[in-house]
Amino acid sequence: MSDTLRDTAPETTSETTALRSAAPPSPMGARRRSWSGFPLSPWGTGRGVSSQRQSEADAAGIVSTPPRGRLRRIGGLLAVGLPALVTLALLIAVWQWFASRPGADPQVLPTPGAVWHALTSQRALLWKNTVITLRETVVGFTAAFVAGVFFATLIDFSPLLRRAIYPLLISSQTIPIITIAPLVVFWFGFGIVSKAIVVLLVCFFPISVALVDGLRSADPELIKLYRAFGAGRWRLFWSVRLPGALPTLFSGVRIAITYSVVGAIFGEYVGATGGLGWYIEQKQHDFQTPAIIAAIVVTALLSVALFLLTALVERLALPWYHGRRGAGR
Amino acid sequence: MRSATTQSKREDSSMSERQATDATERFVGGGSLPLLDVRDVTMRYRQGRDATITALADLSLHVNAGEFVALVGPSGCGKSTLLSLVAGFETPSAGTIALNGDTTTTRLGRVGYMPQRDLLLPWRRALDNAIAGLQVKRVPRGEARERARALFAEFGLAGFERSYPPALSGGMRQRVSFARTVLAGGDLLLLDEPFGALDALTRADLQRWLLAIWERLHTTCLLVTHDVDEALLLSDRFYALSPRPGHVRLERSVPLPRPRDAGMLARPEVAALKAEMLAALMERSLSEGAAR
Repeated sequence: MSDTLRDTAPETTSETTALRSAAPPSPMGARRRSWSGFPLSPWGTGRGVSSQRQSEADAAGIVSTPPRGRLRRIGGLLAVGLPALVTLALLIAVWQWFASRPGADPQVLPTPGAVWHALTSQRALLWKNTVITLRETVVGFTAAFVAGVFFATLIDFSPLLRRAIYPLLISSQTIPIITIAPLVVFWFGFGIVSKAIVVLLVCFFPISVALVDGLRSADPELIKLYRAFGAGRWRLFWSVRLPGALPTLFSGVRIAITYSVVGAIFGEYVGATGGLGWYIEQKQHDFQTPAIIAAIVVTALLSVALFLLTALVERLALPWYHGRRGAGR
Repeated sequence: MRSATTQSKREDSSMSERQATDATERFVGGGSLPLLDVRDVTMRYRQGRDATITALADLSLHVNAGEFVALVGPSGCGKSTLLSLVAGFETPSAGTIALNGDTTTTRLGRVGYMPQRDLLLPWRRALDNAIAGLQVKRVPRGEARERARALFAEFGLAGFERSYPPALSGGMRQRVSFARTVLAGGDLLLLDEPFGALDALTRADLQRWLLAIWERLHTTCLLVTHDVDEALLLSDRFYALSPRPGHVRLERSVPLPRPRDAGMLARPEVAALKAEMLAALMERSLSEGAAR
């Protein structure tokens, strides 16, 4: 009897085989998976397919070829990165041509070569200031994450607190950070604390709102089912609502992390004794355009690195979510 | 497997606070106390400021231990309302619901509930989805998995324990959901149109599957459906409900031996019963609808 039933579920075998077979039953799924470039569940988590599933795949006459899959994955990464790299190269070429045309003033727009020179000659100084900015960003972001999760949970647990906190939370975001940053520096000094607080103010909102929305979006039918099991509020929160809210939370975190470096630079720009923002401010006084652009490049690289790190953490933390999107169901 | 199920049943009943009933008495059936006794239940909902909707009106039914009872009715007749009352999500406006003779203790956590959608958690593997209810009841994970694994083998799910739900077909997901309900279930399983969201072929397949599984498990079931053939094939006894406000129009036993198969639905006595049920379901007594 179980044999006839297994026949009703052909997708299941194709799910595993698509990842490893030479002639995948669903080539679209396989291509999209390899594009992502990250290990996907259940095959990619390293724990392996159960022997029974493997033997089923073998019985279906499918040959396992993991090396080819890996090659395809590397090729996939290139395919994702390459268009952006080509665009970047084109932009630099246009910049080079424009900056080196006759009559161009190198003080106004230095050539890419001059920026590169500033980047390498000021390497040590740039690195020192990057570390300062990174530290402020990490401290501020961590504080924002903790506070965001805390307030989101609070808001979620009590309708009264929701009404008490949520409107203030939203209206706090209408105040431009430009006007707040000088005050924060005025209150908390030129050190790391004021910068971390600016980062906190920038990052707190997207994180808390994302989690509040994520927790709210739990399926009421699912909650009903767990209540039928006899689950209480905490059990529901930990087992159903929080895990279900994680994808939304991560969306908020991704937005927050891209703003976080900007927040730190902003704080430094207003008043600091170090950091990339402080460095840019100093070089502006001296009209050292190549050094300014070099620092901007470093800032951008720092933001991108943090963003990619977040994306990686998300992939590792939510294999089920990305696996599902890849499967196209 | 058989012994594992009876064992789990014993544990569950010791957990639930049964009062006067003796465990053996419930399986005798006949004149003894029914496992579930719904008496004169009325359910009204407020709608807007002064309007109320009566979903159920003086509905009475019972389910004996080890019996498979179907509740057939047109859509919107309050079938699902009744299940949610029995499950303990809501309390009726009037009337009583007794589980093992106990009307007062909450039934949440004491009956198994299976919704129409599979509602599997996408972040859990199939096996860990099946043990969700046991975990709520604080059964240690290892023991819960052991019990689920035994059930997976019986349910034709062996080999898919580590699959994530999106990798399973609709029919398989529904079977995992049923495994979860059986494991969490206590003495009574409430099945709320469990196959309603599936395509016709998968549904027919799963009906036959449930028939075979049930004839081995013999867990008490109350099935809500609008599929007349499903009710005839699966149930020992069925109730046909009126349109809203729902109440019982017809109660009949299905005169088919077990083990059953789908071919038996062609028997003349079943065909007559089906005609009787359809007549009861389709009957439009306007006075009845307007009076309540």
